[in-house]
Amino acid sequence: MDISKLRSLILAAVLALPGAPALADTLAIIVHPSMQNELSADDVRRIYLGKSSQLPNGDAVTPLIVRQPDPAHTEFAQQFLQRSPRQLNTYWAKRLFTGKSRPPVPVQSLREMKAKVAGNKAFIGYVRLSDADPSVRTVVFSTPSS
Amino acid sequence: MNLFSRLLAIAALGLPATAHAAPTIDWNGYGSFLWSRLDDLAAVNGDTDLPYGEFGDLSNTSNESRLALQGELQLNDRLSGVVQLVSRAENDHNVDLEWAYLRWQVNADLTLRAGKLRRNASLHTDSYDIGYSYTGVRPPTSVYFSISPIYEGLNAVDLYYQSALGQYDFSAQLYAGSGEGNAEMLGVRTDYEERLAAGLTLALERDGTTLQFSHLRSDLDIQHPDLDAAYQGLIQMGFDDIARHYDFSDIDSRIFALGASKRLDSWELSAELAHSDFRDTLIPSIKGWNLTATKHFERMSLYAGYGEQSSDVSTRAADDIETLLSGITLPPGAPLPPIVQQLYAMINAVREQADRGRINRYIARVGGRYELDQQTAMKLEVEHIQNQASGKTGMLYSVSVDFVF
Repeated sequence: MDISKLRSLILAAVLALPGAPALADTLAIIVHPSMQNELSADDVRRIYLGKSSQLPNGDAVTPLIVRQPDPAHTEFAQQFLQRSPRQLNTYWAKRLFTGKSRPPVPVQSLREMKAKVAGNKAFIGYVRLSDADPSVRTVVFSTPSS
Repeated sequence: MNLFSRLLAIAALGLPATAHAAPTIDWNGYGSFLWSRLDDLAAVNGDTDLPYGEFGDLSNTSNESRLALQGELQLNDRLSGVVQLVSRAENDHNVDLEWAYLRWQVNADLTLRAGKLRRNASLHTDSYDIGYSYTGVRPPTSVYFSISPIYEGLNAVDLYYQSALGQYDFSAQLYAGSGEGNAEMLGVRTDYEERLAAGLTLALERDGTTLQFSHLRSDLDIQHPDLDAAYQGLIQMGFDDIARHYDFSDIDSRIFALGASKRLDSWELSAELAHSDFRDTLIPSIKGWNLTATKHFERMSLYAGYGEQSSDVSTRAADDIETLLSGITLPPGAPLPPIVQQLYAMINAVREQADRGRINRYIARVGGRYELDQQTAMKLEVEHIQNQASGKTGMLYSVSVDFVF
C-alpha cells in the first residue's frame, strides 16, 4: 500500500471519531502526491505571499486560491496568511503592479482546486479535510500561523 | 527602436527550448478617480517656493485621477516582459509608457529587471499610483510630498532578492540607472538629467511587522536659467569658488527613508520618515515624518495620522561671498564699485531664496475607506495643515474611488 493511500485511511479513521465533524471542516494544504518533502506553515505563507516561488524540494510552484466571496477564501487568508481578504487584495495589488510577484491563480471552487493540484505537481492549494483523497497529498497544521 | 524593444528582441532571440509554444499575455490594471480642494492656498503655501504637493499658486483644486493598463508577456518559465501604460488627468489624459521592463527570475530568490522602472524609497513610493493598495486617499503627505519629484521613473537595472532570514522575511532591492525629466525647482519648471542614480532598499517582515530602510542617490544636472546666468557671471568675474554654489551641472542628491508598520488584530500602525537632500545647493533639503493608526472593520477602515514637513536651504553661497567681501578694504566714503554692489545683491538674493525655500508644516489627517466590492474602494479624507511660520491653517478635502482589475 503506498504512503498516500495509507495517509487517506488514517485520515478517514480520524474523521470517524466523535467530535470529528468540526475537524472535517478544517482547511488543509494539498500538493501533488509526488511532493514528499516536509512542508511547513511558513513555507505555505511565503509561497502564497509571493516571497517564494518554489516548494521545499526545489520545484517551481504556483499557488491556487478559490475566488471570493467563497468562505473558504476568508478562512484560508485568516488562518494561513494572517490577513483578511481585503488586506490580501491590497497586498497583491501592490506586488503585481510594482513587479515583485504575481498573485495566486484563482479557481472557481475547492473541487476544481483539488483537481488541478492532483493533475499538476506545479500547483499548491487547499481543501476541506473531509474532501481529501489519495489524488493529493494532504498536509494538516495544528497551528497554521507561524 | 527604444530600449525596451531592443531588450525584447534580444530575449526573443535567446529563447530556450522550454519556451511556451504560444506566449501568453496577462492584462491587469488599476485606476483612481481623485479630487481634492485646499481651502486656503495662501495660508498653507505662504511665501515659500515649496508648494504643498500639487497645490501651487495657480490652483487650489487638483485632479489626480489616473488609469493604468499593465500587460505581462510570459516569454518562458523565467522570462517575461512588462509594460504599464498610464493616463493622468494632470497630463491632459495623455497615455505614457511609465513602466517597461524585462524580468528574469534568476532563481527562486533573485529577480533581475531591466528597463524603465520606478524607485522604491518609503513604504509606498513605487506603489504611490496604486491607490487601491493603501488605506488613505494618498500616502501621508508630510512624507510623500517631501520626496523630491525627480525621484520617479528611471532607466535602470534592478536586482530584487528575497529570502527567509531565520524567522524573518528579508528582501533587498538594488538598482542603478539614469534618467531625465522636468520638475519644479526653486519656483521654476526645469529640465534635469540624472547621470548616475543608484539605490538600496532593505526590508524585514515578521508576524505583521515590517521594517524598511532606503538610501537613494543620484548625480544631477539641472538646467535652471537664473542660476545658470549667475554661474556664468561669477566665472567671468573670476570668482570660481563662489560660482561653484551655482553650478548645477553635478549635484549630489540623496534620499534617506525609514518605514515601519505593524498589524495587530484589527489595528494597523505605521511610522515613516523621509529626507531629500541636495548637497550644499540652493535647492531645499526637505524632511517629513508621519504616524498613522488605522482601525479595520469588515468593509471599512478608519484612520488618523499626524506628521510634519520641514525644509531648509544652504546659505553657503552667501556666507562665502561675505567672507570674500570682508577681505576687501575700501577708502572711507568711497562709493562701492559696481562689482561689490553686484556681490552684495547676490548675498541678498541668496538669503531671499533661502527664506523662500524654508517651510514648516504640521499636518493632521483623518479619513475612511469603504470597500464597494472586492476590487473597488471609496475613500474620504480631511487634512488640517498648519504653516508654522505664519500660524495660518488650511484644510485639504479629498475624495477618491480606487480600483484594480
